[in-house]
Amino acid sequence: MDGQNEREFREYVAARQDRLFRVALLLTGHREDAEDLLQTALTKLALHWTTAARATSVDAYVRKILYHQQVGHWRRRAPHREYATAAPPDPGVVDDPATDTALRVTLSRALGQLTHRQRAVLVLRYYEDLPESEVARILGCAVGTVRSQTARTLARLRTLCPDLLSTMERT
Amino acid sequence: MTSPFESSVRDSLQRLAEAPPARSLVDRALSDARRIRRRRRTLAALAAIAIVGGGTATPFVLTARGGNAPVGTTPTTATARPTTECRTATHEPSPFAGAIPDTWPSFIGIVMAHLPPRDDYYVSSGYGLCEDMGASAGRVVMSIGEQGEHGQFVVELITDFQKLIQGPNVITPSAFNISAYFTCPGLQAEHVEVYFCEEATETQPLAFAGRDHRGDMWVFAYYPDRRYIVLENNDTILDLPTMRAIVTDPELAALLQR
Repeated sequence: MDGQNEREFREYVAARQDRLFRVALLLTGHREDAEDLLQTALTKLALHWTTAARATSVDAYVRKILYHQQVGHWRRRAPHREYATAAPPDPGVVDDPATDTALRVTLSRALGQLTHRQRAVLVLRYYEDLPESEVARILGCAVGTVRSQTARTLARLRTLCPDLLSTMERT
Repeated sequence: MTSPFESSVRDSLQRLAEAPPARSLVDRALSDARRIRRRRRTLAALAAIAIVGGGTATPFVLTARGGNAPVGTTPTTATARPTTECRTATHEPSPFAGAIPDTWPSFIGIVMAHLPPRDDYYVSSGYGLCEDMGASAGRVVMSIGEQGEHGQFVVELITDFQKLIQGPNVITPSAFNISAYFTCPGLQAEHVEVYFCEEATETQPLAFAGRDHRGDMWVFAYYPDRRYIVLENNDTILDLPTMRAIVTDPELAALLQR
């Protein structure tokens, strides 16, 4: 990568890293895993930056790398890992810490029981707010598959997390 | 139409994603990418090691010495040769269009003289001959179509390939001689498909075109004094005679003479 491309790459990452990290966090469920996933995706992006920078949307390009990396490599990893931490996770600023923490724990556990593909569909549709056609393009499947996968994932979430709606209403 | 449950999922995900920002990952991404590029290039060059050389497999190890390893073929002010050739093609003011023609490395003109006439050749990135681990290297990524929609190919020139594969990031046996491995029998044995291979003579370089087991296509010329000119073209947008003519062009070779 020459100096010009490196500068462009740095500018892109500086502008987009936080957003991409949040996506990685939702996909993996853990901060360290999210950093690993995003690091790998950014390395791949750097390798193909010349092509990516010429693509219509760099975001679409990196998103594809990120999701394929997650659905591909990460599915071969152990589904559950335990982490020792020096401090409890930062709950963030919330109106009602107890309710919000409960919500986070409940949803986090529920997400952990989804397949990586279901999780990817969920994040793409409801966090990234992408249309089904774009989700299909990123995951390399038909729109109908996305639709059915989304319906099944929501149904599974309802089972795993029946009080999600009421919890949300309380916060 | 969005159901209340879907709205809850959407809001929950937004909250779950709230987190302190990650540490900056850009430096490691760049250094890892450089290491991978160097490894790929070296592996391609050394693909014949296990076959040629009297059946004696010669082990080699690639190492990354920390995250601040030398920057591949990226030109830097500190290491650039004192020549106007070592300059990077720039994209200003539009970072996502082709580089400004006035800033293209001059050797591109020699390459373009061989290309079929069209009016949509662009330089995506490139630089002239810059110091790299004791050798000099120039590289250009050319796109056909402003966005590379009709294909891309890469031309790289190296003054001394031996030096480039025995730099600080690559440990090869001190007695290793790349010239001994760049022979047609060795290259043919290592490639799934060989399109042509012509041994070097006193006046001509070794000229080779083939596809390796990873599917990468390589067309290169290698001179007895270790000058190396390679063209990567995985889109098959150029025909073999054109690619051969580019890598064996005497004018390009002359640029590499020290």
